[in-house]
Amino acid sequence: MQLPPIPHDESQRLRALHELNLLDSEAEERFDRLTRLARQTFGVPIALVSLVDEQRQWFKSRQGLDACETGRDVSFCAHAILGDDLFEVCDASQDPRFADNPLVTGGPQIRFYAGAPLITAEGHGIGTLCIIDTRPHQLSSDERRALRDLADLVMLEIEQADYRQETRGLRSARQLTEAISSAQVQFIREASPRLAFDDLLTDVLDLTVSEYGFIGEVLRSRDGAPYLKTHAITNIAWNAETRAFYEANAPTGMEFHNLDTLFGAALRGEKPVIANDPYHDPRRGGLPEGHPALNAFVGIPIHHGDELVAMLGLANRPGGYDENLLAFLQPLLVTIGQLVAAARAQQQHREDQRLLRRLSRVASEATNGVVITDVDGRVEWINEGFTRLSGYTLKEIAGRRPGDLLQGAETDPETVARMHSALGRDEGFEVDVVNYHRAGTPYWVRIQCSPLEDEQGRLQGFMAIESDISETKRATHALQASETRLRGLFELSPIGIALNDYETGEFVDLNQALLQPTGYRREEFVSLSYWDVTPKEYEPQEMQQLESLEKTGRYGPFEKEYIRKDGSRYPVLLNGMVVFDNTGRKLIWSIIEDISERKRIERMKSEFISTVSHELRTPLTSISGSLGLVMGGAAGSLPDKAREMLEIAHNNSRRLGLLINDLLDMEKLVAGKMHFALEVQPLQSLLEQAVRDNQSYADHFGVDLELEPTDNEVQVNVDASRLQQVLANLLSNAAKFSPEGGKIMLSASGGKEVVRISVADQGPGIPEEFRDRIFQKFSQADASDTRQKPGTGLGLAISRELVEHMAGNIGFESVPGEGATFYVELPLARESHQG
Amino acid sequence: MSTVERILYVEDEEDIRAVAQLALESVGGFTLKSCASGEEALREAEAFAPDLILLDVMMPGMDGPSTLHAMREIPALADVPVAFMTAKVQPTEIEYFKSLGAREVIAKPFDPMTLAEQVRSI
Repeated sequence: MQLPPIPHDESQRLRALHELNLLDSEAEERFDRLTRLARQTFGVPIALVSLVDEQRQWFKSRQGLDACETGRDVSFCAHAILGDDLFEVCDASQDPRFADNPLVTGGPQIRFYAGAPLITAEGHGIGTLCIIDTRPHQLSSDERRALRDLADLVMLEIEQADYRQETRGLRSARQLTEAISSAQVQFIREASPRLAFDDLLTDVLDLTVSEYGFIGEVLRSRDGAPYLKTHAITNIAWNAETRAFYEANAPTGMEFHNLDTLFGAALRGEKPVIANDPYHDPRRGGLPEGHPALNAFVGIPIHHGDELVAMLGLANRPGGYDENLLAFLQPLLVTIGQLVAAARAQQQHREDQRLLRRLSRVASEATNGVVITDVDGRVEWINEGFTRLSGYTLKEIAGRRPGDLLQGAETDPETVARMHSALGRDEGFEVDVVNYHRAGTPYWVRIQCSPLEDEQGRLQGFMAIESDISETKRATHALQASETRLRGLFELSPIGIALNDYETGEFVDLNQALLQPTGYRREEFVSLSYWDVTPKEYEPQEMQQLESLEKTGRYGPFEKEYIRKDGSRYPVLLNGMVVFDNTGRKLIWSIIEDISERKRIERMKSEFISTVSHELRTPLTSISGSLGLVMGGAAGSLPDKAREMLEIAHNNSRRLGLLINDLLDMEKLVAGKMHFALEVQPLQSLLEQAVRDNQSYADHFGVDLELEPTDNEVQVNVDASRLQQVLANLLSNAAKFSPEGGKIMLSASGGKEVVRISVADQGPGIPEEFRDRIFQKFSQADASDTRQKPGTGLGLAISRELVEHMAGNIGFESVPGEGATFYVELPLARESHQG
Repeated sequence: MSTVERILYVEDEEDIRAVAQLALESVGGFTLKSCASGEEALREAEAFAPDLILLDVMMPGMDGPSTLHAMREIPALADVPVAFMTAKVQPTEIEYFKSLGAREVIAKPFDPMTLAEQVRSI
């Protein structure tokens, strides 16, 4: 058996056939009547209208045959359609092409076949009108003509059907229009254009009898390559994974970047791609496993204006796609283009609106001034903040350079030059500069200016943000002024001031007054260590001060010496406190006063007192001596009156002598010239001595002096004569202030560390107002000229100095009207009393 | 030790000299030679041959210690006891004067009525 060859126009032929929409349609009387007529006319058992498609022949109308189709390989008609002429086989059993054909060897036992090709207007053979007999036969030329005529009639009917097809086309066109307008309406009404695209896709699939498809927007990635983002896509998910992917991505749009595909070819070429045999199409990209079969595909790039904006992809239209369909869809494509462009504009608009809203809020809420200028620096726009700051409205400043209006006398020309130079290079800048308000008042602004560029990086102008920093500047200036003042004070101070690091002791700062007496230059001094200027013997005192600094944050007043560069020393008085700088670094401020001059004056003063006292004593020696001799009767007896007068003179000369002695004692104590011969000795005998020495003085005032028995074991480390001096002072005071017949109690009571020696009297006690200054020099409770009690006013001051030089302290307790108790506390001597 | 009868007294202050002279001669009954300066005392001392020399410490020209030093150079006077009369009576000062060879230090101002007693006790 010989297989029927494939016609040279097979694909066009098939498309023509499919377009007729006759295949697999219902039987129709208009064809059946023609086949009945053919059977009758030619006296054959079988007459057929056969259509030959890819695989088979299908009978649109059949007489005398039950089967509605047979395979194309066994088909006689597939041979018949190869030419334009009638195809006649007189005896198939004798014909080598058909002798072994099952339709010949088996039912329906074909021997005779004659088929007139059905040829379309375009010249494609789509099938035949054929007659078949089980006996061999041959048509006469009239019969052949008759069969041809009948076939032409069939063709007419087919074309009739095609005409109806045309009316269906009109219906399709109406459907198309409806789809378009419905999409447009929906697009306008819907908040999201996505639903409009979904509906549109459904309509397009219906219209084109496609199985699935998509409407996508053409976007461009950063490198300029186009890619597709779907606005609508048929759900062709074939498993859980793709279903999940579809559900996740379809609502926002799926993106397709691979261009080595059929739709990619359409995108790149910007021309429709029709692939009715996708499996053999070199442009295909391959489908993932499980993807529904792709039997036919059309990808249509859609332009809006000159721009490629969208793409429509359709698949699996029976019979494939062609140019006619594209032409038919043209209005819809235009609409899709418009809708995509509109959606894009809408999206852009929405983004712009959002940005604008955000920017407006920023701009309106900003207190800062904002200026936008063109490339030449001329104002295009200013915000309210700028008007507030400068006083100028947009109308007044538009088109002008801000600097021309705002800069003035106090504006730093260097800063202006810097701004201009930056603008000249198309660069931004940040400066602090003085501007002038429209009303003429100057203010400080910080200008942060940056170039504005378009998407291609071309300079469009500049934007400057101006912040009012007048307050900051004022504060800075005030701070600077204050610092300058303080610095001046620091440098001018006649007293040395130093700032040292607490941890390292190194100098952070020091003033000239500190340097001056040292003989060092500043750089020399700061490189010295602490002990280069402080004599070693001050170490214990230094440690004590350091302890105070750690505990209380302060030290001093503290006297010590500094060593000059030449090795000589001078006395200084130090005070200091801990401070922290703004970084939290711990520092010590020290005031270091050179007290050389003060010391010199003190020395002069005490020398003066010493000299004066000596000079006074010389004449006093003569006066007292002379008076003593006279009173002693060395010059004979005296009249009573004269004796009385001389008595007064003698007493006062003695008192003057005591005063001078006290002054000299005080001077010696203060100058540290008094020597103390400390010796551990029993207290008891010292107290007994004191009672003996002062008994007569007490007797003189008619006062009883008693010693309470004391623990014999108590030992003290004292200079005996100095302690006697103190006790004499306390006892004589007690005697002076005791009422006649009163009693003075001398006692000692011991603790673990100290022994307290008390002198208690029954006098008037110590007035409140006097208590603070009772131990001061020349202080007496009654400072009036009519002093009742004799005394120099130095006794207690000297006593305190003496006691303190013996490591003790002196004090008193008194209730006015109930007497006073003065006491001296001395440390107990540790040495054995047997020693 | 023989009793003191002849005293050489050196004091630059004339009034004090007068008081002391009265106290020692009239009250004490001593034979007194008064000198107004160390130099004068050195000139007169050997001839006077004193049993005791009383020296003021602070004097213009030769002061007490230098006068004492000079007298120790004169053999006849080398063994004559010397007492200083001074206002400087702190223990260290007294020690210093004694180290110079003084037998005693009499404090100024002195009590004229008891001065003779003090001198006699030396």
